[in-house]
Amino acid sequence: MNKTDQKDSQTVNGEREDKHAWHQLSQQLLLKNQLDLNERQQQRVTKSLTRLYAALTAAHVNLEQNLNDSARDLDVESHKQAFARCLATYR
Amino acid sequence: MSLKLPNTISALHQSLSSNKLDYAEVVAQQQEQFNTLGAQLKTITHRLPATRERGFEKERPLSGVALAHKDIFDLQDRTPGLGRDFGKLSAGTSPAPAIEALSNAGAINLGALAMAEDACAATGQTASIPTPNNPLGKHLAVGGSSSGSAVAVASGMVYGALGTDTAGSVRIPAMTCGVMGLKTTHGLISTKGVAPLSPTLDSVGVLARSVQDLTSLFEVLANDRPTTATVDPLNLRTVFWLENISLDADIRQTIEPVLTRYGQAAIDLSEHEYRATALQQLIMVNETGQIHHDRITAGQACRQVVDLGIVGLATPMHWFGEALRLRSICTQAFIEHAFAQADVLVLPLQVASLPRTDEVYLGGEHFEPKKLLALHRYCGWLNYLGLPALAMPVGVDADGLPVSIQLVAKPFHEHHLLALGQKIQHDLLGEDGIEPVCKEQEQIA
Repeated sequence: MNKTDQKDSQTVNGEREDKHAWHQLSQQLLLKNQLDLNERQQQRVTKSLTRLYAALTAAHVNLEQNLNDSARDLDVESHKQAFARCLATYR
Repeated sequence: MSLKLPNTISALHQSLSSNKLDYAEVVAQQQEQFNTLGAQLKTITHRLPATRERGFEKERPLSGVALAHKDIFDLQDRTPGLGRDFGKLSAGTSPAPAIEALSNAGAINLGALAMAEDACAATGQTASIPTPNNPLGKHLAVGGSSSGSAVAVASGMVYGALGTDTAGSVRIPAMTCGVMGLKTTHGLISTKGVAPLSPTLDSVGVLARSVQDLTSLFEVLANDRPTTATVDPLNLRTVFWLENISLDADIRQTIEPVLTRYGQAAIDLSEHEYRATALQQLIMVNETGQIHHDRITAGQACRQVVDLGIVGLATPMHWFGEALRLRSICTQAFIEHAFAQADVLVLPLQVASLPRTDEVYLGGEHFEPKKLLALHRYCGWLNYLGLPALAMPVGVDADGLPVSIQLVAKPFHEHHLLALGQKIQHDLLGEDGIEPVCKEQEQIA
């Protein structure tokens, strides 16, 4: 195997690993949300999630690829209030 | 139909004030138009009797003005159908504050209008209730999700209609029916009594055939804001964005002269748009999943809600938190860049000619996902940034179909949008805006 082939092989393997990781992550989260999809539906979700992650990372949004789905530390309300205050400064 | 009604709300008010028109006749005429056109265009989900006992009241700016609204608002003793069904009687339900404000200003609410199911689609296609027809031609798609509102306004069923906009749901239907649509600043108009799709992004909006009518309705809904009378459009600083924008040649030919005429300098907003679009999508899928979780798991949600919601439910919650955290930062950075030397941004909205139903309705013979995506290509990012936007037609393409752009202002600066919009309308479309149109019968023939 020459260098280019090695690189291609690594890329393909990397993509496969990524795809596998996304597949597992989304499946676990969906099961937590009481959704047990068939394989075809699951593939579609994995594809959408991979695309969304790619768009976000390309936009320099740093996101961890993990199962931390606890809403406890999100402080959704304080973020929403901060945004309302941000808009209000232009009122 | 015997009585020719004035084209604009202010002209109607003037005619009623000077007794040139009779209040009862005006109301009866509007009700007849609503019922007749509504049946042809399949856009009414609920009829309300037009109350005439109050009579004309000069001090009420909308006295005698017939309106109807997207079937997403609570009405007196009725919960909305949300494009799933025809709504339900619900004793004790109060009208949404937005509906009540219009009613207090004298408007007559004639009923509820069709919409994409759960406000979750870029077209007005529905599965359980009739899909409304486009008054510009039955073969043309109606944009969603405030589809019935755009159809009712374009055809002359009503002077104006409320809609909601989460990722373009006011601007897209306005564009496909060739009328004006105003998406308001996030949080300016109460969304109480309005069924949510994605509460972080949802905004109430208004559709009408002229910028004057949008202004009449907006100034009732947001009566603490400065009026357009305080703004000289010639003093507004403007910029336009065309760099890195992909447009069909026909559309570019129509909008480029308009953008360069009304935008004083060029700006490139690509990076902001790209980032805000991705973050908007993240929030929308997440909140759609949360709000419709039970209906998705029970197999009761429509296809669009399932497609979005499942992705949301497969997304780690900390991503959602990050999208919320970044929102103020992105909005501030955008305003500092885009509005440093401008009051209004003159931007593309439409990237391709208006699609046919069979090109963008699911299951259509010539379905093209790209054409469906093109409908909302430049919409959602402005919802993430919370900014107000005015969609308006500015010309026609080679087939004579309308082509629209959008104007964008700083938060709570709708008066800037409406002032510039009025000038553009005056220059390009005429004083009274768009004439009502209903080509439905011709298409059937």
